[in-house]
Amino acid sequence: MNIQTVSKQQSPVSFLARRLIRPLVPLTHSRKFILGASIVMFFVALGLLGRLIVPFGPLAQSGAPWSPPSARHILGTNYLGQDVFSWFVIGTATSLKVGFFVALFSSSIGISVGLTAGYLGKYTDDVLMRFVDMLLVIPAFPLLVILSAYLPPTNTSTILILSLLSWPFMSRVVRSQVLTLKERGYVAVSKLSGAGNLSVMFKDIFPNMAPIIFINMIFLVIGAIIAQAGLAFFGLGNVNSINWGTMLYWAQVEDAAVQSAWWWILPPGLAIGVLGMGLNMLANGIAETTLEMRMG
Amino acid sequence: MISKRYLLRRLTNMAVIAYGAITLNFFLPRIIPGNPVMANLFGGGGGQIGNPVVVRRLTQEFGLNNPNLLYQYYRYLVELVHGNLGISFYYYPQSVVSVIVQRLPWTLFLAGSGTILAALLGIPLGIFLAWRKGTLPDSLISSAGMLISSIPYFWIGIVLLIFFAVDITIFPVAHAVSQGVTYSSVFAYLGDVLYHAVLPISTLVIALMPGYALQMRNTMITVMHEDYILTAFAKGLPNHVIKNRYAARNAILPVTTHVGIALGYVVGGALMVEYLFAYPGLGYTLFSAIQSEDYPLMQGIFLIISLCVIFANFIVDMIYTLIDPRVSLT
Repeated sequence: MNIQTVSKQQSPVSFLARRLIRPLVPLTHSRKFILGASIVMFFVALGLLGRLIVPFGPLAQSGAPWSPPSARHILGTNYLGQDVFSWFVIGTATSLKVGFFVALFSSSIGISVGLTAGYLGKYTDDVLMRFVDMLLVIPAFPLLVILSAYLPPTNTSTILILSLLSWPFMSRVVRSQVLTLKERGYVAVSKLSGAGNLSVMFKDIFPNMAPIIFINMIFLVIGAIIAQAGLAFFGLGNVNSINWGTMLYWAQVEDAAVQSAWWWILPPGLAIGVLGMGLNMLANGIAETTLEMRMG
Repeated sequence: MISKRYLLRRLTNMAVIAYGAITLNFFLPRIIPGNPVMANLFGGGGGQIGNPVVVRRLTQEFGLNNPNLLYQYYRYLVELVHGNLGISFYYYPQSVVSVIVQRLPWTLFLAGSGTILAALLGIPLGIFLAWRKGTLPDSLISSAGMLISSIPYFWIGIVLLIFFAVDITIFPVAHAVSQGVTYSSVFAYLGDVLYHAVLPISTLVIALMPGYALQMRNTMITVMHEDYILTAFAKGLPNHVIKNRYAARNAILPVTTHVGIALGYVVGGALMVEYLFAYPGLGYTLFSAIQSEDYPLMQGIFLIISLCVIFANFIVDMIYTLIDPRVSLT
């Protein structure tokens, strides 16, 4: 009795906060999740606050060309004498931005297609999944290259192209989830009580696959950051934008390998690897925790 | 044995996907706005871009002066059936097909041997890790695998290049064969080819292996929870028999699928690695085509690579059926 009165007195804000936070509590017991989240938070902080800590403007000539790491230049300088550390820190923001927006846009497409195909079934499903299969088989990289060659070289184009090509796998995952979830009892109850297609889709089915969608969004972030770096390395997209990919592009164009300028080449590649590992751990942590909860 | 009905279904499926790729290749340059070269060439009227002789020939052969899109599509298919993908702007007077035919074998060589070597090394590594699940070697190697599989292929190539071709000059920095050398025998030539291929192929193997190993490890761990593994232990079978004949054999199937799905990525990776090592395959050609705005060549490369990957997927499907006959019965 007492407990009920307390929960009735809760303000709607704290009620909402509780609903959002409670499912996250078990995650804090997963070591993988904590480690992964710390790595990701580190890069996000670097991306957001980087402007405050860079010692030089990334485009300013602040030292002699090709100078190795020193106290003044933690990561040395590039062929123009620009500070590599400043490039790296400022570039973090753009690389993360590409990853975030591509994951957001392409999962919206993937989720819509997957929900529609799985829920409506029949011809809709056949046609959509044939199309998805085709996109999954056709090698993405040459297609990305061609599209980038046609579109104006801006970061927006890169985000657009990656979003348009990254969603098929997500739609497959969502579809197979829908196929199992729509047979559950609570869906039948909703339907019997007169809920429409859209209401069943978004109120009953969608919330139940949130963890799987989130895990796949994480993989989309990694994929987009790697793909953007690859396109930039090929000289596609905006090569004058400062990000991890363009760092490697200029290093290649200016023969940093032949100069043995490892301080210019190692940071962006390792950063992509470490961030990818962090995101992977985050995803694994969520997967293991939700699986345990379902089992137990 | 592969049943005829199953084979027919896979073949139809492949044909549909290939047709889709061919159609996509037709529409790509026509639907994307904002590129003056393409607007000029495909908008009808033939423009002032590229080599005027080439433009005139392309316009004629592909019916580009007819504004009817269906007619253009028909011309495109007819020319495709005759093996005509147009003429390269940059390599004029060579046709796109002849440029691609010279370069394709190098790409297939890199991507093919990279995939096979990575699978041959990665699968046993995965078995090893799964068998020692939770031990120090497992967690160390698995984490390293996760790190490496998130690193772009070409970056691994750059690092190898600095180490083995610049700092210690063991391997060549670029190209597929030595320049300006006459070979005493075929074997000397092949040796030189292999010598030049060591770094590019190692790049692909290092990049791909963790994916295969981790997939094998995870599947095998799932398989090891099965009842028949417990039975095998209870029967007192030797460990190596349980490991290889019971667990690994049943876990290898999903990895085969993974090899098929990864093919597209491998080709993408091979393209970048070629660019890095100035290796004369399609990737390097694609890069120079972008630099010189050689759109017919770019499109041709995209189409041929897509068709190769679609075909390779079909082959992987068939191999899968041979390993696991249950698939073709469904």
